Amino acid sequence: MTELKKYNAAFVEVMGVAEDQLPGLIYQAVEGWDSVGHMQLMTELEEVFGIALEMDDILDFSSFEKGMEILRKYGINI
Amino acid sequence: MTSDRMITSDEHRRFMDSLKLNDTSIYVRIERGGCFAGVYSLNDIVDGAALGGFWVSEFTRQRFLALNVVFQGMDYMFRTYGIGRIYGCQRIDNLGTVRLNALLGLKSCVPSAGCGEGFEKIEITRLQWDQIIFQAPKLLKLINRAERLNP
Repeated sequence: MTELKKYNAAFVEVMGVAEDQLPGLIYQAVEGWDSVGHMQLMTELEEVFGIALEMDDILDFSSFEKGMEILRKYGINI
Repeated sequence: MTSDRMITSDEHRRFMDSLKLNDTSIYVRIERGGCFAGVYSLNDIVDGAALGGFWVSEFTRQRFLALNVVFQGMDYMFRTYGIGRIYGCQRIDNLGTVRLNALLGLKSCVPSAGCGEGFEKIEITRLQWDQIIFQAPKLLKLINRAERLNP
């Protein structure tokens, strides 16, 4: 599975949305992406990619696209 | 457990003041670092069972501490007041609430009488709380991660 597929799968599982709804998705735009969902997504991504996100990155992780940008900083080829 | 309406801190303070003479309800104000973090409530307390409810502040949501605050409230209620069972109604299409309740070990129970269409009844006993909650890796991971964000 590619890094992008893993990233999308984490979103789909936690947010309860279809994969085609992910582009443009922003924090709190769907019920699944509330503050609890956000922490669940962060821990899921940390587990899937074997990284530890820094606090500023968890706070900045405000959209599907911004998340990709943040993960690239951790060497994730996405 | 059933409303998404934003309730202000002042509204909560006024409401809680009105409860001082009510012996079938308990409302606990939860603070973190001196800031108002939320409220956990029990209503209709009869024979050790009670209708649970919670509200978390903007402060709590912004710091991703909602799960931690509700956990703290439930644990306090079980341990301090000898409550044997907490139940509630949740809207089945509210993913956020359903997820939070599931993480906290509240399970769907039948029948769901009194909850209304589109809602389901959920509950957890003190025994389940003691047995399951502290062995729930997903819950503990999320709580610990949020705590590390808020030293």
